[in-house]
Amino acid sequence: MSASLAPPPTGDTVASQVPSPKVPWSDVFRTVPANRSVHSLDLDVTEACNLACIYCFKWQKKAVHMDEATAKNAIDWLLEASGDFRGELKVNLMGGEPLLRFDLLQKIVPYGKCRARQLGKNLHFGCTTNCTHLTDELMAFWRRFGMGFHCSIDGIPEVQNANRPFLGGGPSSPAVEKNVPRILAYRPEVMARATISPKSVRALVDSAKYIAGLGFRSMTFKAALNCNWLAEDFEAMRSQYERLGAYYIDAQVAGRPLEIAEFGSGIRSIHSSEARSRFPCGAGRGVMLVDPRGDLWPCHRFGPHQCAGQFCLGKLGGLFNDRLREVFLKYDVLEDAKTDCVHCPAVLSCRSWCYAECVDSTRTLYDPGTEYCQAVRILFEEVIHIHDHLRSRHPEVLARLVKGNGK
Amino acid sequence: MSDSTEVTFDSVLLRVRGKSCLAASVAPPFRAARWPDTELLGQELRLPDFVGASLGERGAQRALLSVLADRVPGAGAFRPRRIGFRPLPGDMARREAYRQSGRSVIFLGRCSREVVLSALEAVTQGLGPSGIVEVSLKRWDPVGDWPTGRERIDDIISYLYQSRHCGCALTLFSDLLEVDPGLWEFIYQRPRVRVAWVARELMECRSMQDFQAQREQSAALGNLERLGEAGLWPHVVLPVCQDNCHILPELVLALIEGTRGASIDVVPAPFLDSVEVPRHATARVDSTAPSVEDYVEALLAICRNPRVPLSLVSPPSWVAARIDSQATMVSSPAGVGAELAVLPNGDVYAGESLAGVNRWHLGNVLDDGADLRWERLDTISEMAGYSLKPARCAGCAWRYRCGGVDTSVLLLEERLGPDAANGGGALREFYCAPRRSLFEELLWASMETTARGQGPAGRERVGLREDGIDFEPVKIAQ
Repeated sequence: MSASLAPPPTGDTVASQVPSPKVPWSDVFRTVPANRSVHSLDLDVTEACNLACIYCFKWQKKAVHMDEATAKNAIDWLLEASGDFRGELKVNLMGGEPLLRFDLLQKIVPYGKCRARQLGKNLHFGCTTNCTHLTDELMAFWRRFGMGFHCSIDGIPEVQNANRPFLGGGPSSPAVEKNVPRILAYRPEVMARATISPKSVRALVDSAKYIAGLGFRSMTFKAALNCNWLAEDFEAMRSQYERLGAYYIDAQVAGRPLEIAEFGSGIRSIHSSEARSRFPCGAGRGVMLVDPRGDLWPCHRFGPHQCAGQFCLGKLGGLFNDRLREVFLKYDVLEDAKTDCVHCPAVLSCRSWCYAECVDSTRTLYDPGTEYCQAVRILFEEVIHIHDHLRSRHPEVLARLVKGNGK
Repeated sequence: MSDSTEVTFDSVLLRVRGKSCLAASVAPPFRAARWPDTELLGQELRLPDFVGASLGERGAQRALLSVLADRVPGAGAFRPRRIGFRPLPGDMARREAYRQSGRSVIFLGRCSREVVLSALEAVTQGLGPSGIVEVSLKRWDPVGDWPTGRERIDDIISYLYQSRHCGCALTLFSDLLEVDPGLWEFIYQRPRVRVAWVARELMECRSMQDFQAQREQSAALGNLERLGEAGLWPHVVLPVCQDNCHILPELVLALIEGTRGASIDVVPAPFLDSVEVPRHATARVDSTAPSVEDYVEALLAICRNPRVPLSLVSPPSWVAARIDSQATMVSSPAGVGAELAVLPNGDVYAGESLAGVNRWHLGNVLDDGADLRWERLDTISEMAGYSLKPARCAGCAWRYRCGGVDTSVLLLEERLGPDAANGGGALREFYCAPRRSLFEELLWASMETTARGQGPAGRERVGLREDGIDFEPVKIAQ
């Protein structure tokens, strides 16, 4: 890890770099949106990271850290902005690498848990981590507060080291292999999230087997669309998905605990009688991000680099942009999205495009771009193939998957 | 026409303030309508020469009733009805100590373990596992008397959770002068425990400079802010007297900010005794009490400050909850029968303010066990009617939203006499005047908010430009 990116000692946090005075509680209260339906908050506790992933969407990697007051204000804000919501509220610790700010987490997690319980609410903390920065003390803390993990890991060492090297260029795979068993011993159901780049797509199946070999029972693969995808890369993706489908079918038939999120949800969507959601995701509606400066964004993928920062929904202590949020609240995929969606065979299972990727690739909130559509169609064709195969030869397995017991 | 006109006829309350006009039903179901300009109202009434003062005339009143019936949903509320309307018992939303879903108990003083457990056993009879028991510890500082206080709190919690399998909300009144370092962790592990502080030290603050000085010097205030900073959501009872009344809005805001959102109960000095010492003997309006007018002005200033969340400050929160409620309220939460009071000797009374009054003595838990004279609580339902007696509240347009004066205030007034030197009538004014003004203020505010939000917002898309985004209206498909 680069020394320059290490979190500064308490008291010398972002407040000393960016003017960010402690927001009075009543100002936090006034920032609350008119429609109090926020139930999940992404908290960028730092923008620093000890890895240099080739597809990272963070517009800058500076040693900008969230200070304690801002983090507490953000938690107070969530508790207010959730209104009468009585389900589980979620704070997802993100970054950068959030575990670099263990000093801050030790303060804000007890604070948030405590304040939520005093207000009769239930607050869960989760963390998206690159699995390179675990300690015994950290694991004990996680156990104590029942916190969750979401592991970013790309696959076999060659892929991991090429896609996700340390800042100095060193391989990150050994650290991941060392730490993953500790996470799985704590929570066996933790999901691995692998990002597919044009460089790594040809090792997709090997990576899936490697991730399963590490002990993960569930995994998800997402294409990094901000990379330069060529036609032959998509062909490679198609052949890899075919092999991955065969591997998935074998595992399901053999009763091995393996869940590949795209396949499982795709099969369930074929059988679902529910109308397709109007929304691609919860960004800007139930989900929001607070960045280290205390700015509010629709999700962790948005930042000051897009459209001169006009997607900023507000600032803790400032006014909330209810007009912009209405756009997310009233979004309608089939009405707003480009017209050829209605002719796409994948329209029923395609529900996971990303607003920020739309903005990045087509400069609109309503068109995810041809790369995204191509990747989704490849995936959908494989889902159809898996579904047909199981229906004809292993209907009992299909029935189990449709019920959602494939995990 | 004067700047402000008030008319009440049949079941309609009418207010003209400047050019704006507000009509609201006085009895449930509560409905309201607003006109930004009396000229518009005149047009709707088809009375070309209409001015606000015309509403004193019966013809204009009839015209207004028919207009309201046309334009307000559920306008049956505005049908002519005699002022003497009384709510049926079934319509009443009451809060009583001994109710189906929960119990309220206050331990007054340092009670022994035996008294605490016997009292809890007695009052939790017939309470189901999903019931909630609200317990307050007063006239004894369990935080200052820590090892004993800790034991007593654990006695209460473990009895209610483990033996009775019901929920428990515990409030500890403390002066917060001596705080054990383990208190924070202790409260964190017991999430339904709250610490309440009676801010007597802030009674002498004449300016915010005095408050800042207190903030630097006062151990209690420091501990309170630490509780808030740790997310433990303390409660503050803030006494108001002549000295601090004119800085009350700033004081409330500073306390909320310093404690990250503590709830604050604003109590005029004459009622302070009800918080800490028996009220029945010595409550009086003394020289430190603010004038009723100043007190009302201070509360209105709090309401008008958008930086103060009303839900955190009582009595505005109490009033705000009733503005939109369709239930007929009966008496205030601190009324007679809202909680049971237990003294250290085991005596149980039907309310904190009634401790020592024979009529409300229910028995002694050490002698009688659970066989207390519960039948005496039945008379509480009589109190509901008592608090809405026409002679007391009939002239008030807000009586059905308010639910009548706190019955304990009425009992006190009755005992002292309206002309008593210590001012029983003034006590009641401290209760009624602020509520009347707050109802008026909050109803206007809610109507203005509604007026701004009228009409469908419509759908918009965002269009992206190099330097930002544009909003484009979307025609919604039929």
